Amino acid sequence: MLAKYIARNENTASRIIDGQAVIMTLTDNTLHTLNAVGSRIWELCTGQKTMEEIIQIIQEEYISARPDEIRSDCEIFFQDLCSKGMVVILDEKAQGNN
Amino acid sequence: MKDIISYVQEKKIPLAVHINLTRRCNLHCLHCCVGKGRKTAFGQAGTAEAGFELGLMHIQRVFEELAQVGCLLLTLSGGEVLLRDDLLEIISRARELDFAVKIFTNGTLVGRKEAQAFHRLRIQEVHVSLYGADAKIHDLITGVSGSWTKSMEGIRWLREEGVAVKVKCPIMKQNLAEYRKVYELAVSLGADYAFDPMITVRDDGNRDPLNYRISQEDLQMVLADPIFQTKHKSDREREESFACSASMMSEISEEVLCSAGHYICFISPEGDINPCVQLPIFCGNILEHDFQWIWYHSPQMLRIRNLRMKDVRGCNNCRYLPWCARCPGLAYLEDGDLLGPSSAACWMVQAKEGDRQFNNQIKANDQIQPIVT
Repeated sequence: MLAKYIARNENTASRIIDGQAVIMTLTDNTLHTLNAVGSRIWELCTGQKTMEEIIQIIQEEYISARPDEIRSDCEIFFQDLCSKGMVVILDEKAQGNN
Repeated sequence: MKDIISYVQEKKIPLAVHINLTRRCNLHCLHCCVGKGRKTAFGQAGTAEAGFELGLMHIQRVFEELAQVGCLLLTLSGGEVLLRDDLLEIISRARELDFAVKIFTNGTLVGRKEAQAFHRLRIQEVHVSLYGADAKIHDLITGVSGSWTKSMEGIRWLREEGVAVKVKCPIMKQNLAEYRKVYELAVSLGADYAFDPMITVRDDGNRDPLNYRISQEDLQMVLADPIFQTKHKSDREREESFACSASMMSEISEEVLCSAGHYICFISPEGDINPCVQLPIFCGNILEHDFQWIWYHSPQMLRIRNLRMKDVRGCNNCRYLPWCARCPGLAYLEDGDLLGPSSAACWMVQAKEGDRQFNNQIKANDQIQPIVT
């Protein structure tokens, strides 16, 4: 599963405000806010990286936290994003994004 | 981050911006709030001539500026917004910048092509005005025969393409007997619905629409309708959260007047920026200054932003104050004083609660009197 690509769902709109992601899910008109780590992950959900690659980036950027805790937290976070319809999981890299 | 609305209000981030893209319309609604000209509370409006509309390039630049300062929620309205030939291009640009976009329309110009485009562009919601459950009353209000049929076709195309629709029905003398039927129609179409009895003065100061406002007796009846109460639950919760006491009055006095200029903003078809669609205070024109300067430095915007409830004249001893949803824009447009009592708010709040309920809840003293009896 972690070898798959992850991208923001087209049914969202988002803005990074003071370093934190504010996301509107357009299907239910709900505003979500993410903390700093969640916002960094959101930025990385472009369909160009696998979940595994994102976990590794977060582990490199947040060296004060234990890698296994980061991995566990990221996996739960990915599941949360999926369950709220905020991201989609792709078998292949998305086209047209950076 | 704490509650996002509190955060953006504190940081003065224009999270939600309403843009009227045109004053042109193919209907002639009795109660329409969009006037032909511009009225402004302080200073003069921008120099753009009547009939001028921001072009696609200007709008693109505005979108980019809005995204930079944290705006996320865009409402595109008019006039009839589908009279803009470049509307789909405008929406595309907005979506490329990751805005959530709502469209306000009368629906008459929505066909399959437009509905498919709205779906493809992931429009958050399309609000369609409908004044009756059949053509008779609706067409009487719009002044255009056949408009109800076209609006209904538009709604059906949108629903067929899976676009979220909200049927909006202003309640006025002409369609008071219709709104429940409109509710049933909206539900049958799989649409959300909203009813609003607050008919307002036109934005150019024309008072004709007030002739269509329902009586306070009828308003009480409407507000007591479970349909209305359910839809306005959040309002009610806000009201209930104000446990009325003497100390509460001092808390209210430090509150801002409303969200205008704090996290919401309005841009007219000519590029004039006001703190809110309902608050005709000219703060600058997008052709003369960039948005960021107007939002953060315009003297008029700062003046509005600094106002507090304690600045309102004549309301602070009103026993209805804790429940009052006074709108400074309506106070200005209808009563001529941004900071004075609002007859629209008095009309609403008195109908909402009624004397007996207030007497049970309020520890009134001799100094506390209603503004309007």
